[in-house]
Amino acid sequence: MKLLFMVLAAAVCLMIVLPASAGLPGDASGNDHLEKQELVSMILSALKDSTTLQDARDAAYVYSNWNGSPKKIIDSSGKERVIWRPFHRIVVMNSETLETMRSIGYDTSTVVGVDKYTLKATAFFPEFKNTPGIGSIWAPDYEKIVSLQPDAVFVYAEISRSSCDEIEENLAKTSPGVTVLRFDCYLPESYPGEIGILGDLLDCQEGGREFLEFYTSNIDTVTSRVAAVPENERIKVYFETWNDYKTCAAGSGYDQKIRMAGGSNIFGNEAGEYPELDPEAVLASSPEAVIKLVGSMKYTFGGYNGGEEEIFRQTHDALVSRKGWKSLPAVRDNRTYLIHTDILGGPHFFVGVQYMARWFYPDRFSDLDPVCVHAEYLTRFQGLPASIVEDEIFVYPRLRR
Amino acid sequence: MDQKGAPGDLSHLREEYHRFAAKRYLFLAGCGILILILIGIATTLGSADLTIGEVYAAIIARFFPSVVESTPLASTIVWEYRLHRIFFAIAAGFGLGIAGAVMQGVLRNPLASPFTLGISAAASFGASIVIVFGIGGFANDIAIIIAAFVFTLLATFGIYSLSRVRGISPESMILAGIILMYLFSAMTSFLQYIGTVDQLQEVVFWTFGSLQRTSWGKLALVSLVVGLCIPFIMLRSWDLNAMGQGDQVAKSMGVDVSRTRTRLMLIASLVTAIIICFTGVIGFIGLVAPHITRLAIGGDNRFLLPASGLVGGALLLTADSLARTVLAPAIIPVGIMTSFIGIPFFLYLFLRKREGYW
Repeated sequence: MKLLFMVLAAAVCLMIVLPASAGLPGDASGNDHLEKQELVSMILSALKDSTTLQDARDAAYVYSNWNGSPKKIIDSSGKERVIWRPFHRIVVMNSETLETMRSIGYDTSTVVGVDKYTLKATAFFPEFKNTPGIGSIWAPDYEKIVSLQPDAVFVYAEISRSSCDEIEENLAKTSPGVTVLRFDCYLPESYPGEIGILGDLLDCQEGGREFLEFYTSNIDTVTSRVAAVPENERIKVYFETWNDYKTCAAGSGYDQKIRMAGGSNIFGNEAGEYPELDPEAVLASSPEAVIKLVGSMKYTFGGYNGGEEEIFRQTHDALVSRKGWKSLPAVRDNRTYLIHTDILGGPHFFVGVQYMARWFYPDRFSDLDPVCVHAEYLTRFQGLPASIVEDEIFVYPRLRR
Repeated sequence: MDQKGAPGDLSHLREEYHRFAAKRYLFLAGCGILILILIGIATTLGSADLTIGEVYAAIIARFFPSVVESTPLASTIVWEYRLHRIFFAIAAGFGLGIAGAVMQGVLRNPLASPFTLGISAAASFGASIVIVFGIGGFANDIAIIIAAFVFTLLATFGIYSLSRVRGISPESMILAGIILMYLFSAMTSFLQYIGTVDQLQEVVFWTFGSLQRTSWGKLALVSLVVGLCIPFIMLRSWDLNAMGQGDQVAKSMGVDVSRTRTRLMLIASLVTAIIICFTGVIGFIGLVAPHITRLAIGGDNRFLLPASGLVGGALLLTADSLARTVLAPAIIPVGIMTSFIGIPFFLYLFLRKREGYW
């Protein structure tokens, strides 16, 4: 009985510390707009009662930065989200959004919880190594999320939509004051827009514009030159994920990235985003270039977490030594490459796209230096040393500069 | 007793037995011919769009290079990708079919199969450990095969040891199998829970079953093990028939029931282990092939066992050929396709045969 009472008391305490329900701080009239007089009253009240000091600060912020109105944005799930006050404690369940937050210059000290993949990426996210983990979108630790008292939780919009829908629904039921925001930050078609929205959402408009300019110029360098290559002259590419003979097709991010780099994805029209192929189909398709993705499953090496060049060489040798592959144009012409998911799967996929463009059209892109672009991204937008680019391996064979 | 009519009656019985046997031999021959036809067709199917002429030229050119010419592409596709896969499907289907028939016979239970006895669950757990913990690194594929095989054998010995405690009987073996199935399934689910989404996907894909990773070497190994086990199983087919009438009847006919049951279960498990460690879980063949065969020719194990193997081989080859071609060049996991084609056929026989056959 005593134990039951303690559990109930703890539950009540937990409910008390949950974020306040929606509404502008200091909006006494309740008209969803903060007037100057309301702000003054709020500040005067805070001078008398220090417990309302944070509300007064938020009210001042809303009044001076948002013209006294709540912020409204439409996230990548297509839903309108209303933000009533600036975020102080956020949980980020998708590392791609976290990386983009850094890119636009957001002060990530407000991040109080991250997913398990961010915690594992100690080389890329060193500042979060001691941040509490909240599981993953596939196995979220709801107790932990709620106990962190976040005012916003970031999840994916498209990846595992059902899992993210469930998280959103559960948090809406148990913690109605928490704003769930959904972004992907890895798809070429939506990424530029997401940069802008995140910039607005987190009041990093200037940083957002600067990063978007950098991103766009790097992508445009590739796409503008690729546009000059007629469709029927584009290089035939076989792309393989870290599962042997599993490729990418229309709808997947990798397919978009191959096309962006000027490649013609041989199996781009197959059903499903990641179909597994009959090996003989690859032989019969005579690819002119082969791109093999590494960085997960039995190919977990390289990228930011490091890896020896020898294992890249062994993987490459095994790839070109597959039965019958020596007759493939790609193998004959030494156009088989390994690329790490770190520079193709996430937000800085534009680095990977530049590598692919160099491989696909060496003459057109002889002046393109993806290594340099990668280093600039790390130093200028991620606060990481440029030496990583030289020390670690992201592609194989490494680019001759 | 009426002694006068006895000679006539015996000849009538003999004739009836010959008819009975001839029908079953005919079924066996029919299955054999069906498999040969399926091989002939399956060889010409594939994503590479080779013509029938190119395929057979590639086959003949390997034996008579001076007589027929073949392109290197056709030769590689037929010899390095298609043929070993086709023969592996037959060997694996045969092994799973006969192993299923043995398990059903030994345990006198129509639901007994490697899947329901926890053997497949153990293999999945072995594969999951390797996948989730990344054991073997670059040689991950080999590590999966070894782990799946080892855990399958562990499950077999687990069933044997547990059932020995209660006395070797169909009931104790089935209960032990169910205990192990739930145990290994729970452990696999736990590994899936702590694994990444890629690892989870890989584990799930493994459990679908696939003939994608076959090779001539793997085919030779599977054929050798299945080939060595068949004579022993066939020699015990009379004992199985006797055991089908009940342990007491079998004992009264001189069958060492416990020993035969244990040995046959171990052999059936070994056959299953050597196959599913390469292919992933293809549990349905072991369950449905013996049933289809039993519905067609009855329960005499002398015919049921080899015929279940042949039906299993034909079923798996058909399923894999469809899996390779329905969405070509994409491949559907063969475990899914096996159920798709096996269930309607099984359902038809099940509804058509009104009398109990088991």
